[in-house]
Amino acid sequence: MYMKTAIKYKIWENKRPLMIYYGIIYTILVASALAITSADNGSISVSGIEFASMIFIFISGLNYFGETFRMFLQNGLSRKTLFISFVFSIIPITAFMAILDSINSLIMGYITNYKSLYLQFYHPRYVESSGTGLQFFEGILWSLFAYAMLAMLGVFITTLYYRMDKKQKLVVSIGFPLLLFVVLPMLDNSFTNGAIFRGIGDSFAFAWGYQHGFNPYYSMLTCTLFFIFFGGLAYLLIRKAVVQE
Amino acid sequence: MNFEDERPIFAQIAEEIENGILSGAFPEDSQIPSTTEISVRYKINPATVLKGMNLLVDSNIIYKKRGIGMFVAQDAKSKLMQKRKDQFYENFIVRVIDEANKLRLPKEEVQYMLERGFNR
Amino acid sequence: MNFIEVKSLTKTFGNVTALKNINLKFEGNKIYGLLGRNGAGKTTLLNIINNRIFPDSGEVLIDGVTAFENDYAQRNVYLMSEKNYYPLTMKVNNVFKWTNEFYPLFDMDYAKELTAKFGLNPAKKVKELSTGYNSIFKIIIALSVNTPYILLDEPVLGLDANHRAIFYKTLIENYNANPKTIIISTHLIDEVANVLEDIIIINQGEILKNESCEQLLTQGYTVTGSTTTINSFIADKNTIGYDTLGGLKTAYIYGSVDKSELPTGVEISKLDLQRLFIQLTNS
Repeated sequence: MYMKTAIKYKIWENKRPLMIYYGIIYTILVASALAITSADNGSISVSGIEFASMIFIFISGLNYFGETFRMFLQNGLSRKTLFISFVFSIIPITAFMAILDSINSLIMGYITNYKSLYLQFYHPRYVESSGTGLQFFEGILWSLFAYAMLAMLGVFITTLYYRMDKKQKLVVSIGFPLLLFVVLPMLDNSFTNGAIFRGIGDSFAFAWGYQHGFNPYYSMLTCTLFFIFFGGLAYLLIRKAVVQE
Repeated sequence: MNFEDERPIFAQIAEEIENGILSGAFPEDSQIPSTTEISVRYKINPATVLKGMNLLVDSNIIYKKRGIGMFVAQDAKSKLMQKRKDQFYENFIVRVIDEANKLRLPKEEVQYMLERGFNR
Repeated sequence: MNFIEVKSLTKTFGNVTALKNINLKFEGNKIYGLLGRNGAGKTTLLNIINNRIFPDSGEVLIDGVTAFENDYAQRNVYLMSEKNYYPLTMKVNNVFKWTNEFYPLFDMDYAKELTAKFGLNPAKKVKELSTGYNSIFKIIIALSVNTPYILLDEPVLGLDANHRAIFYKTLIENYNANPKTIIISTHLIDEVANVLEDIIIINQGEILKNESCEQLLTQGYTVTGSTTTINSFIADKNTIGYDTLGGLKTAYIYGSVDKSELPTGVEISKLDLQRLFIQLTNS
């Protein structure tokens, strides 16, 4: 009973930012469509609007916790209800965005030489078949899984930072990039002869389905696993979260 | 010593109602203000007001009509008069005499002073 | 089982003990005063009851079921806290609307009536409200939400005298029309004393007193007289504090005093709640 209201609240909360975001996106799309059709020489091109959506969703994920947590506590809702409402609001919101983005891509593809992010990644899969229907459908699915995973990543990061004290925040904020961009490359260079980064590249190619004929379902499975992973961690962090006065 | 001014709120409420009855503001068999009205008017917890009312119910000054409210009893005024007379004796006369004894005032002088007070 | 039960509650923040093994019972349809000095543990207690923070040990039962992580138990409680918990950019109107969604018994018409009565502009955003109107805005929700338990933590913070008068009157009207358990934590004891039925005094995380307001008030006295008389008079009494002025001594006594044994030259008077509170918590 309160779960439904909680989900409704989360969706309501995201309505305004979504409207603003799509206001900007449509302005860009219409303007570029006009510019491209009038220029007519292929000098201008626009593509991969989903990338903007991904950034938008990730940032929304980062803003998903703090204010809602206080609002829900004030209204007597448990942390469990809070977390479940996160999951069940992320799915419809990202589904809505995935469908809208795919429709936009389809329309833009007809008018201009626009290429969706999905097609940029998985174009080889559709070279032989001309089934735009399947391509459209799989594009929506792929976007949905990727968006939802990014939203949950945002939720995880924000709850992690909420739970950490100042010292821990500092250690993670400096330590994580240091590890990824300094320590690991150095290690890889001097001890493993690039095996680490090759391994990472290979697992990416595998997880993204590149090694299996550009199969998007691999990446959907990967996104699902990461969604569950980040979600699980976020839940553990939220379960014991308390208000910071 | 001013114990009297610092009695519990419920006793003060009871006395306020008694004063209303004595002054004729609440005639016999008339309805007195409800607990809610008094509680809101003076911003007092209704349980306190009710306690004051019950004090008067117990001494048959007011009675309860179920579902309607509290009413002034038939002989409430005369009963209160008698009660206040008793209190007058306890609170004033007895103390006057105690104080007079402390000051070693003879009975005749106290009587003379009373006389003087009446002729003031 | 219409009561909130607090059982052996302990809470520490770092090395500060905020609550030490607290046991309490808030009965149905009573107005409680939760009194204590700053940092005594009042807000901590209320926050634990409302599931905002967790205790180190102990439990809270609302009508017999746990208060922790329990949406259904919390449906019966509304905590108006000193700090704001509503999104800062949300409009007052929208806060009412959502409160109505989360608490189905919220009385929107009454909330609007009170909004007009207090002169609150419902089109304003939460962050645009002054301290006083922030309190008023939360008071209105607390009085309209119709939960069996409302907890008010410093409800009159920032309110001017007129608004405070409206608040006390509205509170009593509301309580008469819809009896409920109201727990008021406040520093302005004098103003609220007559509204309270029971008093709980918390001091340094422990319950100092838990009894009816009337009972409490019958036990506080001041006796004033020459230092020597007072000293001998209070020797066998529970003295909770004293002041001296030259050779004159005023002692604050907790307990009953037999008027007849009062030595000559000693003045006795009762302590009001505020002064009694100050003496009891003055350590």
